[in-house]
Amino acid sequence: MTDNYTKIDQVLFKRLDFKLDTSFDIAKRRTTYWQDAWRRLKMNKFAVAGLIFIIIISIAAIIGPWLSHFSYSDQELQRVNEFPTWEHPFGTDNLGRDLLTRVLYGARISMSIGIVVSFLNLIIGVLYGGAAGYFGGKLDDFLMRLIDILWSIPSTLIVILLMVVLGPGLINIYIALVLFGWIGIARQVRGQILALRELEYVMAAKLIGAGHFRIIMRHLIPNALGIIIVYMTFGIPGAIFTEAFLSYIGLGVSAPIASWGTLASDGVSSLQSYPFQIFFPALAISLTMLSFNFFGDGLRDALDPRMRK
Amino acid sequence: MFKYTVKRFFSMVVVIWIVITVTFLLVHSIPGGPFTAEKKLPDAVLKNLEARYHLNDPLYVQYGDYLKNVVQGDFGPSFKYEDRTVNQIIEDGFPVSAELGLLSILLAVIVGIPAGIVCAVWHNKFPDYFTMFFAVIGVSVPSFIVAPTLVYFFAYKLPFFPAAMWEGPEYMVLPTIALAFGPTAMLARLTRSSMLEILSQDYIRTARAKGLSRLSIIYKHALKNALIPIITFMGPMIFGILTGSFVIEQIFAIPGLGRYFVTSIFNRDYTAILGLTIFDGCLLVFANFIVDIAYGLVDPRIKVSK
Repeated sequence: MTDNYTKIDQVLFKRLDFKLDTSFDIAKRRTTYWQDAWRRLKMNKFAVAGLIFIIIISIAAIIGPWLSHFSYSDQELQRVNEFPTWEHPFGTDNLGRDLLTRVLYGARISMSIGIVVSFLNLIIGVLYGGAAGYFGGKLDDFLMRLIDILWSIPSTLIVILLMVVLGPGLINIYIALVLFGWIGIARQVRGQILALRELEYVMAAKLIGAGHFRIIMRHLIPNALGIIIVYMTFGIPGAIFTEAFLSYIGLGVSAPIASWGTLASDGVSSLQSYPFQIFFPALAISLTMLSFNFFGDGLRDALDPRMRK
Repeated sequence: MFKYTVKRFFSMVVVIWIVITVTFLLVHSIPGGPFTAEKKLPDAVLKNLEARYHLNDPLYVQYGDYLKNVVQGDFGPSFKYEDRTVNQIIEDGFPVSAELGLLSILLAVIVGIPAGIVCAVWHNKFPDYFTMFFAVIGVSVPSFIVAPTLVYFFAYKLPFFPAAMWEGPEYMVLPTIALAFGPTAMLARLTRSSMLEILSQDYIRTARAKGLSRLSIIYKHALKNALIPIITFMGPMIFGILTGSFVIEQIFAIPGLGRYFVTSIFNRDYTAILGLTIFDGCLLVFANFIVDIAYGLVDPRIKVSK
């Protein structure tokens, strides 16, 4: 049964020739938070330089050892402690190993430690801090009490001891560095979530029946992402630094594997006669740390919503 | 305040107990005893040695004995240096390390805080950029790179200072600078951000409107409040100086606690590692306790009695 009165025919309508007049439009194009942040980041020259160097060193770490004619462990005992030449641009060490290859290989080890450790810290920290901040109450009290205790334990000493017990090795370094590494980020995330969960849009999400998981993953974490990313940027050089420190006191990766820390440590012993042996690893560590710090500082300024005008 | 202090004191005791227990368990979880690493000893000798050091007791008895001794300030014998106790190592090394550490803290405070003030006062001008550039370098370059660099230039190339040992004031210059390098930069950054925040407050504007001189505003009004958050950095700073001294004392061959610690790690001298970790750990936890109390005393805005 069709009702004649409610039947709407296309013929009844006529298309008007109407065009929105945009000539007076002075509003600027809308930018998202991330576009805004990227624009601000680009204005900071030091941060951009840092980012470029990080990309270069990452690429060098991936393909460098692969392009080199030498292996990080090849010894050439007739050519020990050679000063830099065309064949060995960074010279050779006390076992005749090519230092350029070792520094590039060390970049692989050090960067991978930085990335893996800070990524693991990130996952644990976000889950722990997220749970504490979101659920609050007794659980929060308990989790934060635990963190307070862990926080006041002198972590570096326990990490050193743990490395003594576990012995040198890459996996053991991951374990030792993650053990206390997640605490800082867990605290940050908890604080952020605690503030965010009181906001109206979370209430709105709850009202339309979104579950805990959805609220955390879709609403809270994305808004805490700024803090998380900045923390990660500082976490990578932090892990590289701690590994180098451990390698330096003889608790890092085991020979013949080289990290920047072990290379610097080897170089110190021959500082007076062959200063180039410490110069290149030291330069690599310092420039990488500097880049991460510049980039991290820039990122923090760029992502800080209080700076948004 | 009294209640807060008592509460903090008890939490400090708990943390120290945790540190002792964790270190004890970690060291005792190392497979094999301290005498298995050396040449194979005859069984009878091994038995005697174990009995001498009570290693044949069950773990909980050893733990109880150790805890009792530590409370009385006795860290037991060193397994590697015969006729030397861990206490003697501490007595030898600690004064040297404390001297180096205090000098470094002093240097960091004397240089870092004024540098931060300069940055905040000339915010976004040349002195700010200049100082902050060096501060980022200071934060980025690890002390085990600063130290060899200093040695290379100021001991080898230009023989101003001795490169190693600890025998007089001229021996202290390079290690102190190397150890203070990072903390100075951290302190400068911290002072700067703290000062910037304070300088934008209303009461500073009021002071300016009253016609006070710039100098008096900075020193009398801003600095006092800006220094409060910096007190909280003292804990991490002491921590950094202490762990930094492990490396610095090694490089400069300074007979301090840090060097003994690293040596005992290389030698796998487990009782020494255990004792020194606990000693350092207690020191740090205690320093944090003092810093917390000081912070509560200085800043009346903090609610200490919850």
